[in-house]
Amino acid sequence: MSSGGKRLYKSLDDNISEIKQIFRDDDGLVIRSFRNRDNPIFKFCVLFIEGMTDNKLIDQYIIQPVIQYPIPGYLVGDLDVISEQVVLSHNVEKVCDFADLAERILRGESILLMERCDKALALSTEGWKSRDITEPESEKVQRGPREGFVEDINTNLTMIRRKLPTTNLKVRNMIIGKQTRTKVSICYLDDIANKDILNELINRLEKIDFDSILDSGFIVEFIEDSPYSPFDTVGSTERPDIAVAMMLQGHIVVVVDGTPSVLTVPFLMNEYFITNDDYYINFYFSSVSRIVRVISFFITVLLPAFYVAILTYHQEMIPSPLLFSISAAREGIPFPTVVETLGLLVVFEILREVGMRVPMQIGQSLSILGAVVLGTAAVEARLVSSSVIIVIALTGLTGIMSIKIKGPAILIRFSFVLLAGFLGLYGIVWGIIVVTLHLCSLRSFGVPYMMPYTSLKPGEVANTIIRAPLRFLNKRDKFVSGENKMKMEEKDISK
Amino acid sequence: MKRLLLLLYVIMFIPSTTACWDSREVDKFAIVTGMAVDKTEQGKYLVTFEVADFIQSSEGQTIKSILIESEGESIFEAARNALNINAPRLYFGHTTVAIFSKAVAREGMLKVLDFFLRDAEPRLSIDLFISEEETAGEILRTKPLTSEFVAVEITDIMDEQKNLSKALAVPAYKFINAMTGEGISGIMTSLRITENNGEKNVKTSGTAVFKNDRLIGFINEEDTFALSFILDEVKGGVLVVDVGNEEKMSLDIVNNITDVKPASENGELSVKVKLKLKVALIEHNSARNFNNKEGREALVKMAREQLKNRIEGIVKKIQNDFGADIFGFGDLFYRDLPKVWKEVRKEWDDIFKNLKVTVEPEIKLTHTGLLLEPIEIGD
Repeated sequence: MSSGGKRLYKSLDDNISEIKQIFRDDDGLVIRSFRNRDNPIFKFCVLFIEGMTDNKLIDQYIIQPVIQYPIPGYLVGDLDVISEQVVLSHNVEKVCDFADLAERILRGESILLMERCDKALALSTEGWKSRDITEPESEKVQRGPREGFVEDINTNLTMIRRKLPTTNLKVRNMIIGKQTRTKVSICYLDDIANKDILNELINRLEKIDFDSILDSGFIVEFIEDSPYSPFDTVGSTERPDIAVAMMLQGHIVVVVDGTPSVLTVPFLMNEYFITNDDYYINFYFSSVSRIVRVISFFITVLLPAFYVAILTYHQEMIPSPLLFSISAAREGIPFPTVVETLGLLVVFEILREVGMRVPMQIGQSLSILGAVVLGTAAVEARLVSSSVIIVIALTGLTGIMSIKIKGPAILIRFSFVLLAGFLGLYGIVWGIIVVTLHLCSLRSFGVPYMMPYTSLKPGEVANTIIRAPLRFLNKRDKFVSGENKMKMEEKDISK
Repeated sequence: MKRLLLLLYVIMFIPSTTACWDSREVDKFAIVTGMAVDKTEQGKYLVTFEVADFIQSSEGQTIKSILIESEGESIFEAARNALNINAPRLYFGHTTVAIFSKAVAREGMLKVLDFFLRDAEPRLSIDLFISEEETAGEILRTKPLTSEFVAVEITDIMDEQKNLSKALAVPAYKFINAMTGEGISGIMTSLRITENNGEKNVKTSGTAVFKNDRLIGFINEEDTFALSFILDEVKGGVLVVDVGNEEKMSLDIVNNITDVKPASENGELSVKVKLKLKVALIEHNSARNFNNKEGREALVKMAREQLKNRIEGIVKKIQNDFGADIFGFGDLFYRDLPKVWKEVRKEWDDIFKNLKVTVEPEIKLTHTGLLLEPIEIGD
């Protein structure tokens, strides 16, 4: 608590002037001096930053009792009496040096200084407006809890704790970032989480030497196994139910102050295709949805490349009637197929990016512009063929469907189209080989990235592209979880 | 750095390891749907290509068939000479039909078929045809009934033979196998022009019979139907049974399995053709009711005998008139009785002409339609 910083003085005025010096040019600091009513020699001073505190708490539970409490004169300079008998705050700590004092003020605590005392009381009076708990826009569910994380770390930790009322839940706090001094909490379940992964995570977090952590995304880049891979090796979610579910699987959750997205490690390929309400709805239906998601990932990555390859290299693979209609559609198009496809892919990315950034009100005119002007008019003006529009539309649609894997998908899609343009299907096969090798060599905190897929055990494959009934999902992932691997009593499995 | 150089080195050589390396845009070549090969008086090949042409108009795209005639010393030269009159290069990857004139076929198919095998574009599944008209080109000049292209029309006709079995689709690989193989002679479907509703349409007219690679004659559609039974190509069709009194019954063939067994007894070779037909009564044009136990048995018996006569008749006809083993009986001996084949392969042509072929149809009447009794005229 007390670092090697400058210690507080005995004199109240010296302390105040020192603090004023620390907070020079910051007009937010409020310094309120007052005396005890019975013994006016008791000079006090409350320091806090306007807006960071709940002023009612300061008025009623600090200033009022200190002024009204009859303090005998011989107690001058005795802070223990004030702390134990006078102030009505739930969290009171003693502060000895200026650095600590300044940080506490900056975090919204109030500091009570006293004449002839080289210590100060830090009182919890934090109180600022934070966003209400709402359903996360990016992770909506048809069924399941509707609450989502907010920016405030304490609210977020509360949401996690409420779902896991067990002492097994461990929360370890850290502070990262020299400037932002961001609070980071590591949450895990003691007997379920893998201790090797936990130690590795703490180790990596401690090594972060970056002055600002404004979002959990900053942390992701510093703790990833392969920072240059387009694939994520750290997951994130805005939903407490998912965070808790991940912890119950043995994953470790990192909650970062100031952002609603919490991190989950390790993150495996399979999690790209798992959505929020997979476990809340019928397993047949969620299996079908998962298969569709996997198929649409392949479509969004491969379809434009296949179109280019087959149309420019392997025309004999197209059924004759289809070739006739594609040829007819391409009649008079000035660009080669690969340029046409790449160009439209870029146009689609522009539309997507614009659609994400513009205010809702402009969205409608945007879709008209995109669909009518760029689509229909371009085909009628013979700039692009109608077949490529269909291909790009399907690519975009399936791309939106697998939204979590969007980043890698865009990169792979473009490189595959280029490969197809140069080498045809041969190039695509090369691309697939390279991507597969990369995926198989990736690891997230030591866990093989493709883990559930590469397993041969039916119990482990049961939760990949299909979602087996919960009663069969009784075992935790052997790499991810620690000692406690069973979700049910052993005897229940056979039933 | 060293690894990066190695990677670049590998990438540099990737393109050179592919077999056919060229990208081409679909609108830069003309898709040939069908082609017809004729011989000019100067001894050159006159090839007619049926090409898909795409017209862009205000109403949208339309696909039209255009014919390109080109002359050359060889088929490939003719194909390239077409560049003189039409800008895009001809593309044979989607060609489904190749028609040859009688003159070309009589001279020998060896000279013209090499292109279809050697070039990378044409498929071995191109169906081969012989035009029974003067030239092959005029077949492509007929008007297709339902599709835009004559080639597609012909392909449709061949596809529908599963319900008729009166023409045998002969893809290039089958003909080449027969041409190069021992104990089997090649056949092709023959085409003719017919008048239909005042317009000239293409129709199949039977089978062209080859000896080695040369055309030696034609058999008609009815004989082709009988031939299909021996070749086990019957998937459906109509079996008309003459029940006397100029009354005819129609049986629809549901399916058929043919089993041909060669045999050798005391040096005498014979072939037994066993048919297993499942038929349905589809047209009952007789005053006598055949839809009872005796009637059905009588009908099947008549059908069996008539079918047997028809098939044995076509065998006799081929043996006597052409002497070409288009049934592949020799091939069967080679496969089933290789020792016998070794002895007879030299004089197979003579043996084939006198080969004893017995046909044993086994017919099962499984369905009789919706009516139990024939329609009768009331008073």
